[in-house]
Amino acid sequence: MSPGPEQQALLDALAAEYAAVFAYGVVAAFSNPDRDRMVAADAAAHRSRRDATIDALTAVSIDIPVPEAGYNLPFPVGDPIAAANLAVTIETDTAVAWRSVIERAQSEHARGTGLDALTECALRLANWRTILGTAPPTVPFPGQP
Amino acid sequence: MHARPGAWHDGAVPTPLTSATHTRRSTFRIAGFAAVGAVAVSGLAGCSGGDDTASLEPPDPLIAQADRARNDAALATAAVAAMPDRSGALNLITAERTAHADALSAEIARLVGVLEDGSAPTTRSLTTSAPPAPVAPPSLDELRARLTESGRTAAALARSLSGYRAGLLGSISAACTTEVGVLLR
Repeated sequence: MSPGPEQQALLDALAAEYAAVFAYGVVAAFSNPDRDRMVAADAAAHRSRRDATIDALTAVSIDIPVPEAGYNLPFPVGDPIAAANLAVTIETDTAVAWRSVIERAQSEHARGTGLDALTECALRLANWRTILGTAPPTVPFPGQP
Repeated sequence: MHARPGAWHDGAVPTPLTSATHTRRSTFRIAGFAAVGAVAVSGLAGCSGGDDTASLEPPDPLIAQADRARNDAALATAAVAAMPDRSGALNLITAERTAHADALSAEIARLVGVLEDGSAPTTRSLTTSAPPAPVAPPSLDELRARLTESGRTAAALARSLSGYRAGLLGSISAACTTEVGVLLR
C-alpha cells in the first residue's frame, strides 16, 4: 500500500527516530557518567517511539524501511559538552518531525500521537539546554523549523 | 448555485455580447465583471453555504486561546513581584506566552482576511492596544495549574483541528507543558 500524507509524515518521523536512537548511542558514549540514567531514559523513550511508529505503520500495511547503515553526525563528538549538544540536535530534529505529523495527520489518533511525542521532545530539549546553560532554556514554539 | 447558460447573475446583461458595436475594451470590461462575480460567488460558497447567517458563525476558537495566552503572560508578570528569585523563568514565560498570543492573533487575522479597502476587520480580541487589567500575583502552584490547563486546552483544540492550526496549537501546548515541567520545576 502506498503511503498517504499521514503515513508519509509517520515515515518521516520514523526516520528521525532511527537517527535519534543511533545518535543517543554516541551521546551515551561521551556524556558525563553522572547523566547515565537520564541518557538511558531519553534513549529508551526514542526506542519506544520508534517501535510504536513501526506498529502504527505495520497496522495499515505500510512497508517499514530499515535504518540507514550509518549516520553522519552534524559535528564531531568527543566530550560531554559535544554529547549534550548532540542531544539538543536530536531533540530539535525529532520535535520538527512530530510537529509535522500533527500538521499532516488526518486522524485524531495520529494527531494525539504527534502531540504526545512533540511534548516529550520539548521537555527533553529543555532539560539538555538547561544542562548546557543555554539561555533561554526553552523555545516558544517547539518543533517549528 | 444553479448555472444557467447566459445568466451569470440575477439582473439582465445589458449589452448583447454579439453586438456589432462591441469593442476590444468592453470585452475586457465584461471579462472583468465576470471574474468579480465568480470570486463573489465562490466566496459566499466558502463561507456559510451561501445563506445570510455569516454573522452568526461561531467565533474562531483560536481567539479564546490567544486571550488565554495574554492572561497567562500577565499572570507571570504579576508573579515576578511576589517571587523575584524566579524572575528569570517568569519573564521567559511572559515572553513565550506573548509570542503564542501574537502567533495566534496573526493566524486569526489571516483567516479573517482583509476588506476591499485593504484594512482588516476589527474585532474585540484583535485589538491589543488596551493594557491588560492589573492581576493579583498568583502563587507558584496557581501558576503551574494555570499553565498546565493552558497546555491541556491547546492540545485538546489541536486534536480537533488540522494543518498549520493544529501544528501551531501543538507547539503551544508543548511549550506550556515545558514551562511547568522545566522552568517552574
